[in-house]
Amino acid sequence: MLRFLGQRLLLMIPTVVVPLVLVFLLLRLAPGDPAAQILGDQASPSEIAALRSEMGLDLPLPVQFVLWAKNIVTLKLGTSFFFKQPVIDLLPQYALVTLQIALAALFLAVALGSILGVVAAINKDGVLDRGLVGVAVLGISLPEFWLALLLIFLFAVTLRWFPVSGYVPPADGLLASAATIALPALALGIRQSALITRMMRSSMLDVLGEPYIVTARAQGLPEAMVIGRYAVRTAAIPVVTVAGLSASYLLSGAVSIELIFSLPGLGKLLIDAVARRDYPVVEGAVLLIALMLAALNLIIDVVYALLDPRVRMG
Amino acid sequence: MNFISKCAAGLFVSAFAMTTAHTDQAQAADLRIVVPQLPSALDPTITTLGTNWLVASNACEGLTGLDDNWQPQPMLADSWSYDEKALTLTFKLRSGIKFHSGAAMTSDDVVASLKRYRESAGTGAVLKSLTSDISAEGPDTVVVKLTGPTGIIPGLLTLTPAVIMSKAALAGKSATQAVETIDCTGPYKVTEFQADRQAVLSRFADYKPRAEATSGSAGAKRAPADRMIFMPQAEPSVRRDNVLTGAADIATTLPFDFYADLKSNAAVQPVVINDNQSLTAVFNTKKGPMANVAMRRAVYSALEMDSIMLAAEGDQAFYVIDPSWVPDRKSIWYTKAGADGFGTPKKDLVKKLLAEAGYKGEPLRWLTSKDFYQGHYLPALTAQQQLEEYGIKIDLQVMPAATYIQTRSDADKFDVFSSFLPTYVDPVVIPYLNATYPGFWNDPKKEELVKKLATTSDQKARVEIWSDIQKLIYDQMPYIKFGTEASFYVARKGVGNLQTSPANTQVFYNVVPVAK
Repeated sequence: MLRFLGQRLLLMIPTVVVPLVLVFLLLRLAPGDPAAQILGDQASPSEIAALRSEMGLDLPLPVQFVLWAKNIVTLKLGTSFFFKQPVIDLLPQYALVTLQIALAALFLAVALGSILGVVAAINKDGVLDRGLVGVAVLGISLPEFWLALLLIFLFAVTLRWFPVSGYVPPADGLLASAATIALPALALGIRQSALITRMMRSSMLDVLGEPYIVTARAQGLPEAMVIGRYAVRTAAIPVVTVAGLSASYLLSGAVSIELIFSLPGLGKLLIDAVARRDYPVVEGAVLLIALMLAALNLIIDVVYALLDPRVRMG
Repeated sequence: MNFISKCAAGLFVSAFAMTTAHTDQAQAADLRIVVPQLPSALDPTITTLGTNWLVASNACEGLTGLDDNWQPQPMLADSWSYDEKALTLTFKLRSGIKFHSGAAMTSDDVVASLKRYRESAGTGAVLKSLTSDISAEGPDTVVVKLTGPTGIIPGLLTLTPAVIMSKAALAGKSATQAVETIDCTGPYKVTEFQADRQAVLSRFADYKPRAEATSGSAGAKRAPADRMIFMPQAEPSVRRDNVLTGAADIATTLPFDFYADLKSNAAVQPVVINDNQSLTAVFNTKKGPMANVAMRRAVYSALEMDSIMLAAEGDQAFYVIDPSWVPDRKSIWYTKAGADGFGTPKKDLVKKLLAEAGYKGEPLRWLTSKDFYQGHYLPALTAQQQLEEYGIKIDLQVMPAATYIQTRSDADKFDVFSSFLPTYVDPVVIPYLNATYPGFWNDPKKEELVKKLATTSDQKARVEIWSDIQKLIYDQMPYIKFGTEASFYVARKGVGNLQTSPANTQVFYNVVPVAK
């Protein structure tokens, strides 16, 4: 197990380093000048050039790369060109918002998706099954931003149950905070729950045909026990993979949802930073997301290895 | 009670509590304003981007303030005067003015602020070119030494980057290094700022309003709201929904598609700001086919401006086909000089001009971006269709804002780019007139006229000079104007004293919130 863990940890290094190097190069090779963005369109070329020099952007690319690599290794992520704050202080504020929404959406997706998947499977080819499968296909097909706007119209504008947009941190009141993340989590969770519903249904149908389930039923065990204790446990294993993928997606920042609900999360921070060419923030955010995804993948690998020893054997 | 019943009851209580909490938020006598974006830093001097001046416009003041007719009026200055040769401008400061930190304002603070502004980009550089020194003469007098006679400095000092901050707050900060806390003198004080979340401005108890009647950002500032809360929201429909639900009092910068629905809704009041800005296109006068004046005239003569503006705005109520390069009709700089027959295509003339330019059908690279708003892209698209009827080919290049800004700075990479131009306090600061501005219009007659405009102190004579500059623009066509667009925002019913002047679209300190 330790050897397996060591291999996986070594694999994390390229997973984190390769995207970082690519982002460094792409940002500097893409058109768009941070100095021009900061000064605005009334600044003259000489004023822009002076600021570029002050920011070290006029240094040769290899020199910039060496300085950048040194800072990354020592976790000195620099200061945001626009916020004028150290990136290391800025990132946690945004990451916590994304984490809060991702966890709420993931909980919703797994709970709803698993239940609906099981219900559809045990009613195979019935009206309920066809209805749930139809809803799941619709859920997968709906663009999140559109669903978000529908949810705002229904729950915020018409029913007035939740605020239209904005974010209240948990420290300012748990209920108010929950109210601000409810609709974003719903908009994100519905699509992911549709994916999990389909996976759970398919997995359950496979398991329900297994001889041990037939045996359990033949022995006269109550149906609830057959489904709950034997079938669901086995069928849930592939769902872990889908849930892991969903978590990766949600943690990397659901940009459109964060933009629509005006949530100061990682996705919004990243997209704004790319538009403004705020290099330190983009690089810091990518580093954080890469680390989170690598850690998540490691956890999934370890859970798999624990559940199924064949994975450890390679 | 079983588990499911407990969960249902819990959910019901939570939903009720959330709803109540949400309703309570909207009850305070605050003014909640939803804007497309918040500035990333508060300091207005470090950037020429107007969107980044929002908070400072409401918390800070300059020596002068802009009234609704675009005229500079005294603000922190009590008065100003020129010496006989018009080479020294002396400002007398108001007494008893306090900064938000509690310190009293003196001439040292004014000198520190203006010297820093002088080193900043854009209009700061204009001030630098017109002044040789700024110094204090006693605690309430500031003396500005001029490089020559000029009438534009009081106007320049109305601009937000020229606001006065305390010397202590500016210590050690160059014009490109942001001040963390803006220590200003305005009627509201920044009490909370979280970029991307909200900016909270609370009424400043020690504010000393002027006695004159309010006009734009000049005269008395009443600060009727306890607090002003700016909240960012990029999506226009969600900004609107915040007002519809009462979660916000004002939502700014909305598309005209929303106007009819909002007009028929009794709970809200849409507000149109006419003569807001010109939609324009700027030609590359340095290199390529548009360096030829005949080609520029051909493009202008081929365009039918009404269709272009209709495509951009969607309704004739929200634009005017007007040639003035200073779009607000209330400005003294507004003029129709040199623009006979504006907006109507002249088919025969186009053919003649194209032949004169030797145009062989090479595509013209037209840069535009959808990141700003549709007012950039849609006019370009409509103009492309109109020009193709004359065989003028347009290679419409739609790109992200950052790419657009960089590409247009390279004369080898474009022929035309989409742009817009608001009214400026003085034509000298119109960026298009600068020969280093993309488009690179460097005409000796223009340079001479702009210099004359900057160095003439008689306002009547200056208006004539500006009129001559506009005539030159309509002759040389370094840029073209399609029309003047309005803008609109929405407020809750009951919100009072709403601004309708394009001179002060970012100013909210006189707006009266819905009563508690």
